[in-house]
Amino acid sequence: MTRVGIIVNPASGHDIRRLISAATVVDNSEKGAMTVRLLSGLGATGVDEVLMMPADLTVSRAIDRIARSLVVQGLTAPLPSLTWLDLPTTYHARDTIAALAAMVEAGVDAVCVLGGDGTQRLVHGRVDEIPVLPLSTGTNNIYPVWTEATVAGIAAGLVATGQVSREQGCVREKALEVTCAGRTEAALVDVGVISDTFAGARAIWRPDHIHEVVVCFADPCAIGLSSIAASVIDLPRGSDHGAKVVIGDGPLSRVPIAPGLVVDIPVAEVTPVTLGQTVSLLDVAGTISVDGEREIERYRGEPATVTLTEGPWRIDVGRVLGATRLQRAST
Amino acid sequence: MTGTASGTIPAAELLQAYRTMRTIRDFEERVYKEFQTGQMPGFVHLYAGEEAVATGVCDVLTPADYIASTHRGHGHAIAKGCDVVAMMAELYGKATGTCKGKGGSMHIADLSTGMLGANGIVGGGPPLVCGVGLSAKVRGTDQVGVSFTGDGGSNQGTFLESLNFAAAMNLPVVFVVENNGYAESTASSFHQSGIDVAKRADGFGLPGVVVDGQDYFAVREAAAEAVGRARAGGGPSLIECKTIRYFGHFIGDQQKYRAPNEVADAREHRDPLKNFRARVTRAGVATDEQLDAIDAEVAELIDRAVAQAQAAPFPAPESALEDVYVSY
Repeated sequence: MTRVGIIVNPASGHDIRRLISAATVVDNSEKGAMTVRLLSGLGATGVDEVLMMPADLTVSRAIDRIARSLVVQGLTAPLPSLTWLDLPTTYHARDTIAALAAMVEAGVDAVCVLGGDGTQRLVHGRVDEIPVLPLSTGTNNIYPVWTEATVAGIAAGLVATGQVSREQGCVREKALEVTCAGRTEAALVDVGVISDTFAGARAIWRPDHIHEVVVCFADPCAIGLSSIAASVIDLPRGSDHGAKVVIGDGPLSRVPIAPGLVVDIPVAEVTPVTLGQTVSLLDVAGTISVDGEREIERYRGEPATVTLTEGPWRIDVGRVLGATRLQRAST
Repeated sequence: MTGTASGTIPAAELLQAYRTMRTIRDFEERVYKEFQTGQMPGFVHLYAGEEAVATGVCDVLTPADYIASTHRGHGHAIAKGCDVVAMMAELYGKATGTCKGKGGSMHIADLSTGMLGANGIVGGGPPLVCGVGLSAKVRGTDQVGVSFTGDGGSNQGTFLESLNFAAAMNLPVVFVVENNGYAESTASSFHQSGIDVAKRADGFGLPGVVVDGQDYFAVREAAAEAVGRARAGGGPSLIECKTIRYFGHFIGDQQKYRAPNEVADAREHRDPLKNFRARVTRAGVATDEQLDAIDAEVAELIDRAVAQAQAAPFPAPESALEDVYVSY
């Protein structure tokens, strides 16, 4: 019996970036359609059951409507049986956390998470060694990828059913654990020192409010805070270290800080951060951001540290499908 | 009023924001008490719990901007600058009231402050601010119209038609949805297709965002961007504020549709005033003493408003037809 958990964040994709920038909009019907595409890929590889986090009606009805249509037409491989977890829906991060716990307890072989960076980071430390497929439905996402969900479902199914091993098809990601004001939060991409006094509407788009950034990796194709690091160093995904970037007197980097917003930011200093290393953040009153959202309000003199650790096993769609091709060629 | 970033709001504006929220809270708590004495006529819907929405939005408006409110309109009126003493008299139906005692709770209007009125028609506000926007556009002013609508009101045709009209005409309008989770006594999970009203904006081609309506800073930041965008000719937008009402739909509502600890939990953990106080004092931009002083001044203001309202005369019978018809 192969089981896969799916989490769809019904609230992703409607933060303030739709007002302050030209951010993408993904509606919940599309998230439902993505889920059906995912199910068809999972079913085609032999996944028996999918455990779903309860989402909102537009998601669940879209899944039901489209899945029925596919089954009636007989156009796709059998879909896995779908079980909705019996959990309360509060439309808060706690829903995802509770669903992850239920999925781990049920012994799922893989987890698929549809949401933005803010949803994905909740996975860190909550799924043991279970491989995770992160699919983007949010705004300026870096950690989850835009991939056709049918193909992604095939990849997740191949890993879940053991046809491709975790070591063959997955990448061990890194994570940043930031501690300040008695709180610890995880980030999978970046932690920022921001001088907005309050978390407010959470997004970050004022370049002069950014003072320091710590990154797990710096993809030159990425948008947001990690693009500052990517403008000055080569730190691809899967590198064995991260980096700390201090903003200040230094050469200007022209970076895409949010969708449609390209700004100049002066970079003063870049230092590598090794796995297991703990670094202190600049003493700036304001907020600490995790994966692009102001999260922890920090007051003058409050120390803050960040530790680079091992993160979740990410199912890499390209690697999985490449591995199956190699397997075919070798048999 | 001018700072868009939460990090740049001047301390004086933060103190004023607290005063506004405290005034709304005390006004509503007192009306709840006074209504039960039987001296206050009519029907009352209280805004307590939702203070951060009205305050966060109205704090980024100018006196020349207009708002259109709902049946739960006291908070909007106070935040837009209506006189609290006159408002209390209006609730008592007295001649010194905002509408000379002829409007009552659900029709408080004060054009001098840009408050187009509380509105007994659910979903009645959005078409009014489309009128504001069209007027501003035709006359070439930089005024903005803001409507407040509940989650129930957002199911009305008027709301959806207004989204379309404002988008089609590119009007300087902001639609604020106060989603308190209930259309009267029906939970939004029963009456809404999808939990976020903001997503409906996508279909009409205007941006829709969701913010925590219990957080003054989140509301204000979103409102500042939306209003600034509208004023600059960027057209309409929608802000959905997830909020909580502390009282029933109306005074007297038994609220059997709510979990027993729902309101107590919200008052303890998600209260906009407590949240605001904790954050501004910790950040060092205001002191507890300053906020306590505001509490005392507001308490005195509400006492005075009730005393003056009770002492004021009712409108004379012969004034019944005054202010009913307007000459053009």
